Amino acid sequence: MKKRVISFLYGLVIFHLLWFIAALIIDRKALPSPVEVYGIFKNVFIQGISSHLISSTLRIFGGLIISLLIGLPIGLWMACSPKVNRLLGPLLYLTYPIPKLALLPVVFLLMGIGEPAKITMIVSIIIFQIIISARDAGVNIPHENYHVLSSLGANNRQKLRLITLPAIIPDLLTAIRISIGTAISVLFFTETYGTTKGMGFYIVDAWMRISYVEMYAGILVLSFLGFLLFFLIDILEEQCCKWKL
Amino acid sequence: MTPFAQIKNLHLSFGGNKIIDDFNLSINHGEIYSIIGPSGCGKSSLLKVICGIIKPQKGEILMGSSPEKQDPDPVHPKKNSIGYIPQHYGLLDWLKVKDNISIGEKINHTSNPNRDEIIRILGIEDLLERYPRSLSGGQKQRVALARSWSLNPDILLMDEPFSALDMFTAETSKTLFLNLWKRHKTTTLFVTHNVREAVEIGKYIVILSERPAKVIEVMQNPLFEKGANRTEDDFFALSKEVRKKLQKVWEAKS
Repeated sequence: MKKRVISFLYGLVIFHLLWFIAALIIDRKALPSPVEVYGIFKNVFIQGISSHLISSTLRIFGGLIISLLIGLPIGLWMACSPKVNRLLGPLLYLTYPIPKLALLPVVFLLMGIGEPAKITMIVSIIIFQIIISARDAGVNIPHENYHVLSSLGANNRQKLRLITLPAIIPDLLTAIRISIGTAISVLFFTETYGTTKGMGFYIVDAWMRISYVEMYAGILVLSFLGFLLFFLIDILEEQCCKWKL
Repeated sequence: MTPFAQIKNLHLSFGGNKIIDDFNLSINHGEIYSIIGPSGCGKSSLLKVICGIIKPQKGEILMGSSPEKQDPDPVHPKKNSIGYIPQHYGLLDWLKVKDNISIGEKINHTSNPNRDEIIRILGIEDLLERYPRSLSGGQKQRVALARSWSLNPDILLMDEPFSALDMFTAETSKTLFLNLWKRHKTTTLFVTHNVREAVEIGKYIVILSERPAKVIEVMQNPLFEKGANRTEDDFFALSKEVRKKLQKVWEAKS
């Protein structure tokens, strides 16, 4: 933990130093120095950036939870039934590489530009990773584990709770970690349409108003959100995957 | 004496391949049976059928202390407590050793007052807080033994439990197993392809044919009661006899 904090602080210092130097060299309004940006941080929060932050966070968590609720059962179903895997596998293989952002107009056309469309976009990115990792991790669980529990009289629910779920959690967390960055990028994009709440709106709005300092403050806040989610996954991993060490 | 368990006319096949064919065996209460046969003859499948993991196409397995208790569908872990130890022990990597040991009790909502004693006899008190991945093969095996025994099973099924261990560890594990067995006298089926092990462990030695598995002979092991008092010569002679019988079976087949 201490090591991680030190390495985080080190990264933070280097990042701001580079930013500071770049601002000095470029010397344009389009790249204000970190001192300027942090200077208005208090104002930015007083003016209500938190409500934008909360909207974005809720959308991400909503998308994540829906992805888990749908993706996990599908992935596990594919893992335990070769027939289902044969049926859904090709579809997964075909649709996985489609750049989901390209589907944005389609989703907007079909669902309107409200909340459901925004969350659907997040789901479309995270769910594939979850299905694939749940399926692959599920397939790799040794049969002996199930045999032993069967011989001890465990029912299917107990097997799911005692074997399947704990066995796939590490891979699931990795999948979320991989997809969450992309999910935030896409969220940013969707929030520039049909809403006045969300970090995407905030940043683009500041950009349009040529208020670059505010724009950068928004970018920083969104980055912190991304970092916080990463950190959360790290903590979860540490708690749930002690056995892997 | 009514046998504790009876396997009658058992048939098992997978996709047209016969694995077990007309298998019959009576198992007495509180005895150890070494089941020996060539690799791939269907020994592991036999254990899986007995503990209810695989359903056979034909035949029945009766289990229970008296004939009245031997109902026609007894192969159900809810009716008989079964201690099954697969070849690679089947420990759950994400549970600590102590939780792996008590998992059977948790599933069946029971609690065994002898658990601590079993853990002590097997010498794994210091491993309780560790995860299986950090254990050696011998340690894993002892944990698997503790898991099965802490259920106080009616029958113990062991699938080549010593084959993945080095010679010294295997010797220690066998001694620990026999020590524990002497205290609890659990009816045990012990599958192996190693003649030496079969003779060391079993009171009865069941010789199987090549696939599809069938009982060729059930030998009584006169050395079993002698325990540590048996001589190397006795042991060697009996091993030779078993080996000869096995050879005969396998040669006849080829």
